[in-house]
Amino acid sequence: MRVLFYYRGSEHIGVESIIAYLKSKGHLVELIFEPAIGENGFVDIPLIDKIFYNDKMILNKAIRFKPDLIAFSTITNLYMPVKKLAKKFKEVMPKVPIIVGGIHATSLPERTIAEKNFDMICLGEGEHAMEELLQRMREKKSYTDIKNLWVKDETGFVHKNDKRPVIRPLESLPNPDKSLFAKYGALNSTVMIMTTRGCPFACTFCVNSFRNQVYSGEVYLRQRSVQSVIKDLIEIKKTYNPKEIRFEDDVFAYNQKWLNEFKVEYPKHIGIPFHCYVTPSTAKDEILAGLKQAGCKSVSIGIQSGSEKIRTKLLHRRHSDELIIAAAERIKKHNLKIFAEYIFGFPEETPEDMWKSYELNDKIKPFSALSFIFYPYPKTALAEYSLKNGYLTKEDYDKVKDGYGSYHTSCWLDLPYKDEVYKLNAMLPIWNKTPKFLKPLLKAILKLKYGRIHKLIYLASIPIMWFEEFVARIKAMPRMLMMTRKALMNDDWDMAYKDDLEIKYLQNQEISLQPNTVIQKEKDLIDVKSIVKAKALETIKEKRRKNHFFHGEIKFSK
Amino acid sequence: MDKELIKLNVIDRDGKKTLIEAIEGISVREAIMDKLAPSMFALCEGNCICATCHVFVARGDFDKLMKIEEDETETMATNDIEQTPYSRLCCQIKLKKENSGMTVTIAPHVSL
Repeated sequence: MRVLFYYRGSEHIGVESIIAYLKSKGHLVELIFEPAIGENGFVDIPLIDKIFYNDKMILNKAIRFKPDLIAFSTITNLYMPVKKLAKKFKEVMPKVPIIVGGIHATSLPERTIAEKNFDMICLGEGEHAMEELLQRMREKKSYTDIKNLWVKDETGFVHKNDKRPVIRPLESLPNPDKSLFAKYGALNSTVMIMTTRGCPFACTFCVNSFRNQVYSGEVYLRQRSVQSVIKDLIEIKKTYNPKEIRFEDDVFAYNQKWLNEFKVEYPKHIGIPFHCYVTPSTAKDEILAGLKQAGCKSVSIGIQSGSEKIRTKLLHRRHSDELIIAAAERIKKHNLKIFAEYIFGFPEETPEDMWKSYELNDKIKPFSALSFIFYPYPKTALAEYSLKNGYLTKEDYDKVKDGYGSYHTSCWLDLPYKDEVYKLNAMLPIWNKTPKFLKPLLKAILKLKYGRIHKLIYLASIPIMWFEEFVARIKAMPRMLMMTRKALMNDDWDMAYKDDLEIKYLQNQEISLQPNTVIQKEKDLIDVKSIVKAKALETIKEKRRKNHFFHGEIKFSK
Repeated sequence: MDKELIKLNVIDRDGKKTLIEAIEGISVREAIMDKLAPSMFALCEGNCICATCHVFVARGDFDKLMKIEEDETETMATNDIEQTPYSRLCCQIKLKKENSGMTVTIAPHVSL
């Protein structure tokens, strides 16, 4: 079957993983990628992109590919462009079904499937569900009962299917396929990789607070073996020759045993400097020493708020100031650069609380400070809390659910100190780099009413936050735009592709049916008891999964 | 040598007591996850970092357990849990013969 994916902004490991899986099952997969350089959350100048490519080129490429299925993956902040493009695809290819997955569809299934241009949505992991869907489409069978999918039928009725168990082990999946993103120039000198799925924590502002709740009853967090990660990286190194690797795991190397193996294998086979995420509680000496030995050059650490009260009571991050300062000192002791991350504009946060982030940052003295504005991601515990406690209006929450705004520029909460949120968010990166004797000047600017000067300072701070990354991105932009133009005009998929896999599959089955059946029968006789037991356990687990279904109100346990 | 089945009483977050059996040598976390799988429980899969497998061990059973290690103390201190003198992270408790009949209460999940 022919599947057309769409993504924008940057490479996406989840999409790469589904692409790899579907390719491994014999499907022809193509990607339409938009760099969206002019709409990156900081600036909104779509014209930058439109000089190089336009919707007509995108639609023409899609038509030429003749997809059997169009697939979108979306996070909340990308939902609007996805919706717009789906409408255009539907206008020119009304018979091609459109599926939407990603965290946005997973957290807001009712709202997403209600969109008239979406025929189905995928909740949770997409590899197995999409393959089953394509297999059924290939066999011209009904696909309204596939687990992890909600499917609209001809009458408009939505079939809401149960969820699948999480994929285990992760090595059962092929390594993510970056090639389609690469041809659009989406891979620059830094290449992303993930060694885990999920996060061991459930910070209230993060989608993991929702995801862990949905997947209660089975642990969502899984980690790939070191061997599998290294094998993947060897291929990445050979193909893309990156200057830096970014481990995008929410928390990297939390497992000491895993790290002990990784710190030997990574320098031996890869040896490229890397960046990863740690938390104040996982930044232990032994872990940091392991990271350093492996070749880590810098870490991001989420502080989120300088106020212990906000961290503990509201964010569910019980890290004392002392613990954070000690963690920062340990990181520096191991000669790793710190990128400290903060969020401003939480409910109940006062200007004093926000100022504490500045004070704590002065004690940590990170290499760089990155600041964001609290964005109430749908269904997260803190978004629901904001709504219940009058910090977020239903109207604004609806706008968030439609993907308006960004965590760089939009304070959605109804706070009495909104200006302070914008000002303190705008100036922290510069504050972090300013020598002590000049800080009174910044303090004076902070006392001014929020206005152009703060916005200018914020824009100026973008390169300061992460200079190397900024330079790499700026350098990559023209190339990315040119490559996107080229990729949209070139049809480089396998023109000889013919979907005759069903026949091959059936033939293979005929050949191998006899011996397998015999072995299975022998096995059955020997092991009836354990099979019955396993089946009973699977039934219990199935029931548990139903109890933690994707829709309906999530009850955050007390 | 065959491993013994250890009996374990688990009081869940609704106060319901269940007697479960688990093979000697596995952790209390694994036993609870396998038989009861409570919500928001053991998110880090036994790596001793998230503290969501926090349990209160019955007073009489507490002293029979192996001494608490620094890692566990640190994780309890740095995560969002309300500790008592009988608090343990059950991913760190390996079931032994002498623990048979032990009672643990799953700590409440702190929410907003």
